[in-house]
Amino acid sequence: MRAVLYTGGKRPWAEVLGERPWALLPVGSRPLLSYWLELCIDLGISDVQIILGRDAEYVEMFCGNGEKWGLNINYSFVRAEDGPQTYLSRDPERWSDGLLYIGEAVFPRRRADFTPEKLNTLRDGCFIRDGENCAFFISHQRESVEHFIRTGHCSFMHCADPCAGTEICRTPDACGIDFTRIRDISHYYRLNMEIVRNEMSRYLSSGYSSRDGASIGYNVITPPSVTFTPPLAIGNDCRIGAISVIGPGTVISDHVLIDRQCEISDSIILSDTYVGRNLEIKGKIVAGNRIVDPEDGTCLEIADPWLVAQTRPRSYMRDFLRGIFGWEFALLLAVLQFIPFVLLYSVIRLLGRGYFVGRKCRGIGGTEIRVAQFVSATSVPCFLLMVFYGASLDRFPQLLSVLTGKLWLCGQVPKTVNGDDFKETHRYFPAVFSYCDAFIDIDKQMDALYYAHTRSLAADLRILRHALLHRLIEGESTPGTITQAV
Amino acid sequence: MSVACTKEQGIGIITLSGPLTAATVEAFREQLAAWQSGETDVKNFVFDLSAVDFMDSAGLGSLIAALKRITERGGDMKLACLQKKPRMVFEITRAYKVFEIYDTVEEAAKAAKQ
Repeated sequence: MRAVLYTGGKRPWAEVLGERPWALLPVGSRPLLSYWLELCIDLGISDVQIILGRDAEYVEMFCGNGEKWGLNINYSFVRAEDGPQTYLSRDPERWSDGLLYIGEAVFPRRRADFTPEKLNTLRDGCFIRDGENCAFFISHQRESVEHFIRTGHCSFMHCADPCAGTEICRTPDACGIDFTRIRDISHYYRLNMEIVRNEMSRYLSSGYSSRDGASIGYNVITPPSVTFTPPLAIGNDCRIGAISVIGPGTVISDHVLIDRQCEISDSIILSDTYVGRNLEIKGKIVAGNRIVDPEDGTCLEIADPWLVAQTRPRSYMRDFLRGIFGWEFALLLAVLQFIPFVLLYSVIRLLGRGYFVGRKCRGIGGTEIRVAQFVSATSVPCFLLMVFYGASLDRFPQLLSVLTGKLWLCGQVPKTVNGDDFKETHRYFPAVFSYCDAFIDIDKQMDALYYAHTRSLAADLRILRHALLHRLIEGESTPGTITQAV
Repeated sequence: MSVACTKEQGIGIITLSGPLTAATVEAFREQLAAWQSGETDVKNFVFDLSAVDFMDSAGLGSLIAALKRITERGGDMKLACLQKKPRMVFEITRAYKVFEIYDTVEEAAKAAKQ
């Protein structure tokens, strides 16, 4: 038997959640598509064909070649105007050994008494219809498969007429699964809450503890002051800020940043989302910069990136443009600062008011570099030092590092060298100026992550404007000092 | 953003129309300040937000600033008829703990009189 899983097309209920592929939206702690793949494993299917649509690259990135599940996954496209059955009819012989077809947002919801053996009862012509489309079909019989490919209907004799308005044609109660079709955003939300509260133990979920009622993925980093109240499900690669309260009834997907002092409960936070400091999210779905009320589907798009924001995937072109701008601005600043730096620093050294020390840090790409950091030799306020800081002359040597390609102009505070524990080079932007220079009361680690995920030329300009102005007005050093690598 | 200011039984009824965002807060502040300077005996205010369909953090900030100014003068400020989307902003930022919010202007005005 082979499986054909259709992930293309749009689903109206999912559009309010933004550009995310509907097949990758989480249910509990995992994407919907992963449950389909798990069903294939339980049915003994090893060959899976995924039909892709608009968001092909995300589905391919998630599934790969199927190695993770022990499946052999291949991909195909159909045109928007052609249905999946057009694809099936291209080579009907290929499905002669049996076919599992899923074409809608159907969730195979396991009952409490489910066992994989019970799925054997699914083998003879079960079928679910969703209006004009086939949501689910399975058959081991050649004739039944051919009839389905030809007509889009199930041929089983005792099957109720699918066009009579019933959603479910026939799936035996003995199979232990209720095939739940996700109809709208409210249903999607309720399904998540029911799964995470009562049913997570029925599914294979790494990081799940039945004793705690919680599923926590890998690379989830939280300080000890965070409170977790099960039941909850957290995906992979998440960061949660200090003094936050997570749960109960919370579903957090992958690559989510939650800033400090947040309270989240009975909510779904979709992947690649930043939740700002001191927010309270209750009974909502947060998808990037969108907040959705699942009761009535009201969608609020937040323009303020410090409240909620879509974190950005890596963009080489954007980083290239930022690099060019940074280099040119660093050159301009260095030219303007050269003579004042030489004059003022000579006097400061002569009077013994301060000096530069070279600290070993990680530069661009994680390479080891030396960053000159100015150290004041006196705690007494001094006009010379005020002018030195105010004109940002203490950062002059670091500007030269920008010109030699070792640092960015704007980004994160450079990390010190600390053994071989430095790994995250793809999210590391060591720079001369950072949010620490631009704003006070900063959580350095969270801001470094925030910058990595939301960086842009506009963000760089904002940092520069605030940092330079703040130093000019205050005439003092800013806390953008070099940190230890975490 | 248009701001209509009236006085009913000694309470200032401020009716806002349109989105209250970074682009419109300045106009809101100026119009409110101009009216307040002409009606110095009005201490308590009710803000009718039934026609405010969208609000961002800047708009919320302007309401908080208005609350601060009013309470500093010994007055009180209530909000009424908060629409769905602005209500969501209030919920996630916890601003609902700062303001007293009523379903109708009449209820808010009654509470303001007490």
